[in-house]
Amino acid sequence: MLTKRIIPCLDVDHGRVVKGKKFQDIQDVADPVELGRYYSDQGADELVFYDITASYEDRDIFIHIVEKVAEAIRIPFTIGGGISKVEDFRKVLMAGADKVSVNSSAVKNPQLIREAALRFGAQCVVLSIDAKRNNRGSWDVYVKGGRENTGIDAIEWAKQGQDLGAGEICINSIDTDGVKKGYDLELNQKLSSLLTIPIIASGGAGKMEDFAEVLKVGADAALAASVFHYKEIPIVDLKNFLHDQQIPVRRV
Amino acid sequence: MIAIVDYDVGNLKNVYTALGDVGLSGTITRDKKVLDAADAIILPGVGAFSDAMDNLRKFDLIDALNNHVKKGKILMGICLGMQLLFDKSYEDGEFSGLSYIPGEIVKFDAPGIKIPHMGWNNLVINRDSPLVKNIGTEDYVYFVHSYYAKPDNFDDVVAYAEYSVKVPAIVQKDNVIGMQFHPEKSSTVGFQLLTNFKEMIS
Repeated sequence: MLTKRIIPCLDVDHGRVVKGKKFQDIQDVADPVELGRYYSDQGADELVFYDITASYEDRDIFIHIVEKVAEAIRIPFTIGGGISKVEDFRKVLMAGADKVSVNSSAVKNPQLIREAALRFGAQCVVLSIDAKRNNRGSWDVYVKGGRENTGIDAIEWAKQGQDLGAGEICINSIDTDGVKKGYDLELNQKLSSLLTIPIIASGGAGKMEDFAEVLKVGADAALAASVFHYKEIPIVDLKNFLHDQQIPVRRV
Repeated sequence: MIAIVDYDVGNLKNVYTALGDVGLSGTITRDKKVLDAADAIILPGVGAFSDAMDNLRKFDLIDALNNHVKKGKILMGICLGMQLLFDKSYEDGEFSGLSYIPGEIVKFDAPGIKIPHMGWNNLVINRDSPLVKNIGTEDYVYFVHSYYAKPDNFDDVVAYAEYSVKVPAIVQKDNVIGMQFHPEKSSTVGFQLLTNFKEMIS
């Protein structure tokens, strides 16, 4: 049986993981390779490394990190942040990443999804969408880190992304992100029933029940950052909890 | 030495690295002399079936592969590389494969399932093989594919995964082996499978 995936997301700035201070059992929590290895040992199903380095010149540091992660870790990982052209895809894939996530750059140039899918395969193209509820009962697509409303309907954009060749959609709800009161269940349920590609829920995980709920309404994977980085939810415990809830998961 | 066939279908370094984990030394190559010298050949690959076959032709590798298979050298295809081992694929048309294992590659077609088949799925053993030593139904491996193999003879399937159908996960016909999932991305289970592969060729 195909299992539901649990995906820790690591923000990387100038080659170092930004969050996560409560790890006493790893020597260097700020090293993306060490933290990635730790999560992999704990049973994470995939990892996402998000490059938040502002300057373009520092991209090379990040490519080096991707190479080191690929050497050290034997689970799939996705790279996001600063990907704006097909050449960026090629660089991180050749450095050893399995998937590449695009967000604002795909909104600006939707053909990027098609070009990357044709060249490298749909399986490595993840369309990441920042969505926020409006007062008309739907969701708008935001870009620039959630600061700018594009006015595009998030569900329509997800469908278009699928048609363009994305292999997966990561839906990040701005309303629930950082609030720790659960994922946006309605949005995830809608997308999951409308799309035929897998959905990764993102934004809002605060307790183990939140993961169970969003996976039960149809999300194929659940992504989270702070609850893992601050050790509020150990992945081993989360997998056991989900298993007890009859949700198929891979346990280590 | 294991030859990892380089025919421009994605990053092959991860396969190379994972071979190193089990003490196998890989060489990423399209040089026929290296294929001759290799103890076994791995055919990796991601992307589209027809592009992959075109590239094998472009680099003039098909005759070499045919000869090695005929002579009994072990050839293992991974992911798309496994699909190429079959007679033909219906991915975006109808294309001939290498025809080492009788059967076809078809698209998942069941209501309500997500495509690609993406993520960790457990293996069900279909028949005995040294390839699945110490592997059981609690063992999960990482899949990502939209098309799957439909072998003429299901006895060529060593292990399968349940995903709307019995998806051939490990296939073997004599010295030709295929893994539909990515052993190099399948954590400790992948390590065990590559260890089994190593024992087979030594």
